[in-house]
Amino acid sequence: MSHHDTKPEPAKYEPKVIGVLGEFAGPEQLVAGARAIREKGYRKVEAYSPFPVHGIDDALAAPKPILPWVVLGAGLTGCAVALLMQWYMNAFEAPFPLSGYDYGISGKPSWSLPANIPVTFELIVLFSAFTAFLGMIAFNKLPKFSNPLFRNERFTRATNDKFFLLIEEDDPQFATESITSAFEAIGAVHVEALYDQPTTPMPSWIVPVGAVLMVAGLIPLGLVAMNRNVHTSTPRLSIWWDMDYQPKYKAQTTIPDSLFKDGRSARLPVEGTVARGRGVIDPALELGYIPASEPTFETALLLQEEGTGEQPPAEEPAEETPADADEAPAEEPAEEESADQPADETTEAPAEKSTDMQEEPAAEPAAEPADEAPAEEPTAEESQPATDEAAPAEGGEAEAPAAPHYNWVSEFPEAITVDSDLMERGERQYNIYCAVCHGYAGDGDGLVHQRAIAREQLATWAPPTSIHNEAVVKYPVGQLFDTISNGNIGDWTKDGTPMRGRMAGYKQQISVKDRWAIVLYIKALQKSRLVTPDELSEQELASLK
Amino acid sequence: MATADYVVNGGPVPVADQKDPRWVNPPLVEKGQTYESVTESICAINEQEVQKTPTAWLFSFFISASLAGMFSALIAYLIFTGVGVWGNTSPIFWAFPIVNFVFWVGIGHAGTLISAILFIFRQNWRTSINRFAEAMTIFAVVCAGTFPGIHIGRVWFAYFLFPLPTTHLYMWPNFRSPLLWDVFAVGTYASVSLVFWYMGMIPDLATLRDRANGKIRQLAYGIASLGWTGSASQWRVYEKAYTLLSALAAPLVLSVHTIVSFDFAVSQLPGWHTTIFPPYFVAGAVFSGFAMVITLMVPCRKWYGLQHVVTDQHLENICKILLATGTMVGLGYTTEFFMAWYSGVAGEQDAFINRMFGLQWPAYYTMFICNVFMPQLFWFKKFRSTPILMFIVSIFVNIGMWFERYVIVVTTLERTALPSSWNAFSPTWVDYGMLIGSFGLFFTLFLLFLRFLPIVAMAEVKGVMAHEQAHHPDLADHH
Repeated sequence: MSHHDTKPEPAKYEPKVIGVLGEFAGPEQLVAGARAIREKGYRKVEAYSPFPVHGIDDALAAPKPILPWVVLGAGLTGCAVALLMQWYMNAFEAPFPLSGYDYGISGKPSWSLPANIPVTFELIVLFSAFTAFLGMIAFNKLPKFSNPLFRNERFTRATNDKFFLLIEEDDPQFATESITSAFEAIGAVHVEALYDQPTTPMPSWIVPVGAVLMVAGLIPLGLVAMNRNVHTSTPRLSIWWDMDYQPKYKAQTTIPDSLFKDGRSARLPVEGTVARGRGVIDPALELGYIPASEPTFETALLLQEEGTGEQPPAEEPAEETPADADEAPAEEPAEEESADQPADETTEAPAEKSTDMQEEPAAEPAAEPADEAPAEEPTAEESQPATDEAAPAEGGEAEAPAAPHYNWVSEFPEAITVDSDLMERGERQYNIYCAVCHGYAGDGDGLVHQRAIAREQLATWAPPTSIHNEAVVKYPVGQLFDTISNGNIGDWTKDGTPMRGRMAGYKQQISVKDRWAIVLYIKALQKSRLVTPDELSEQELASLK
Repeated sequence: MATADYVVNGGPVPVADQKDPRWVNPPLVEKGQTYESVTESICAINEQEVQKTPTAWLFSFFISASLAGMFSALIAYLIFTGVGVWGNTSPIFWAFPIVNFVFWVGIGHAGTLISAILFIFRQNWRTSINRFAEAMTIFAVVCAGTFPGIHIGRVWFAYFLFPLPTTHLYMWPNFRSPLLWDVFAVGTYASVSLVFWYMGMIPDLATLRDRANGKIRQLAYGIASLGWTGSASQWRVYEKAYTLLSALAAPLVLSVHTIVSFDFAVSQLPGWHTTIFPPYFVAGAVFSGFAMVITLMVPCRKWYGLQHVVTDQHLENICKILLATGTMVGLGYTTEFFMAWYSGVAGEQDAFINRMFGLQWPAYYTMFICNVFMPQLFWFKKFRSTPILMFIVSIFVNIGMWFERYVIVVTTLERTALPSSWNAFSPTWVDYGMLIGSFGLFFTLFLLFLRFLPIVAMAEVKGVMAHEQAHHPDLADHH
């Protein structure tokens, strides 16, 4: 350890001058001193300070470090290494050892840049940062534990509060006396010569001991490598056996001697379970149609209620419906009424007729004759050309699977009071939710549509349907309600369930009552285009002139 | 040189502003300090003799080292028994371990942010606290890294995480998995932070070396400082390297929590699958990290008498950052609810209703109150200028941010798409023990740092002092 030998022993060793050290009072003096001493022609000048001093590099005419370029190179290397590594490991495969593995996941391409960006970014930073650090060490020729400067008593303050200039002995003009006087002339606080000193050799045992330790350190790695490359027929040790063998049944399996009669490892939901928020009490109100008598999950609760002949419970599940919804008797929809009105129904919708409508039964019967269904068939006219990628709507009514018998509600449900308040509410909600696509007048020319046209996206853009479209005008109110709730019906599957088109459903955002309000407003908008002069009063006619 | 009164930092101040006392920037280092007094006051902490170690330090170290020991014992218990010792159960496979991981990684972010981003923006006030915060980063990342390491179940196969060749399997890691991105992100973050922290310490370690008077001290600091002399050519390369490291660490810190958030956001679970996660996670990380800086800084500054270096102005700046990031986090929470409603996806809406009103509602409200309401107190000057008050608020934020991760992880996993698999999470004593134990590990490392390493970047503080002094004569000339 070097501090034993801090005092030179002149008898054995003649110290050699290796430089002259001048101490300065502060950072400004250091910069001024460095500039002055260089002007005197000294070239091997080095400055020492406890913190980086602004302007010292100029004063010493130091070259700019090339470290940034080295780091840039490292960053580019990191980028290339990362991309190659990921490509080799996940997108390349060949029949040789340590080959990559072409990782097919859900039919995605083996090589797709977006998924590789995070790792690439991290490796760029990793390579660059370590290069910046190791580059700093290397360019500064560190680590260097032995340095004659460290044995100078005054110099220990160079990392604390003092500032030094050193002129090294390989300077062409080097001469201790002249440098001393030059330093004093430019304001050095203290000047002294710096002597070389003998260094202690490393203890002789370090190298062999180090070598033995390094070899010993490799033994575990060697054992691991060996064991990974030999074959054995004895089973692996099971130290934690309960991790490999656990007394349990997995989900979706059968149990031979089951606890349960059906042999399943898992239980099914209790019969008749209705998920919270999924029960339907008044289908005319909440669905816009009366489901067929076949019990479905959605109508399970309804049918339960009908079976016992009881009134539905007072509280409505999840969806916010108007308080008066409960008053709609559950059995009422199943009663009667002909469904001859798809065509004339459109003329009945406007608000002024609302009182009449309320007197009528709320919905079509479940037992509607099948031959009337085609009138309501939402086919080619309704679905837009680009609505369905698979089957172009031009395919025609003949080829499309017949629309199933859907008991659309043709009148507003009893729970909905049709009045001018509802109309205003409908207008507001329509303007909020629908007008962006369908336009304020319902022509299918909302802002979204106009923007698509402006951006020339016609190839992929499916224009919103106009509500004045002949097919839409014929929709019973129930189907309008269903469209708002679940989206438009683009097509029908063979088993008679609707396939939804481009328009998304809004039942999560708009309450039941508001959806009916929008239906009312749409009916009013449609009526505004279809009204004939003889339907209007004198006063109204006069106002149009 | 030291008697100059440093009124201003960062350049000339217009005359009009000088007349109004409110516009005079408080000094970054208090009046009357010299280069030597800075060295003295900071080195004195490390140079105390062993017999004179403060009782408070010994007491704290005893407690935290015991907890760290308990942590190790619990890890051994976990490895020998299996992950069943935790409360993790189907379908809540991610519970405390991942909550703790995200929590600790988040804490780390403030350190890098203070070091790198504030350095790039030339915020000189960072110099007094950056070392401290960087140390916090390293120790937080150590705690963070432990949890996924032990959460993989069979820890002896942890090397599967790395892209190592296997001779028999032809099998490599899947680079499309955010969990693998995480390995790279956290690995890079830990190692780059360590390098950044160590490189920043080299000049200060040289100061300690040059002042050392014992053999062991001299040898240890001598080796650690690599033979640094403080020559102009060393400083030149050093400063360049430090700037480069800052420029690299700044995007790195943003990427790390972004990628941590991908662990959640790239999955398809309601409540996780959302694009707001990356920015919201990063804001939360900065928020929790700065809160931890306050938690640690307020007592340390008092015990070690560092009020002249870490001034009230520093604390106030941190409080303002807490206020800003806390508000961002609050915006994140509300945006999530808006998006759940706006998406129209019932599953998403259920997930959030469940978050607020479900089994874990106490966790949700703890999170919301601690993270959104508490930092709003920093609108009041009183809270920004009273250390004890900001300390209390920072404790709330630490608690709140732990609960944030708990809420995100547990509420979503408890309610999967298959109601028959629903389950309720309840932690075991091992879960609690490991959470507390990780704090023990963190504080053990931190106390060792306080005792043996320079806790303030002396060279940088002196540089700022020189800068402030150099500008004072300028002012006199101009006006």
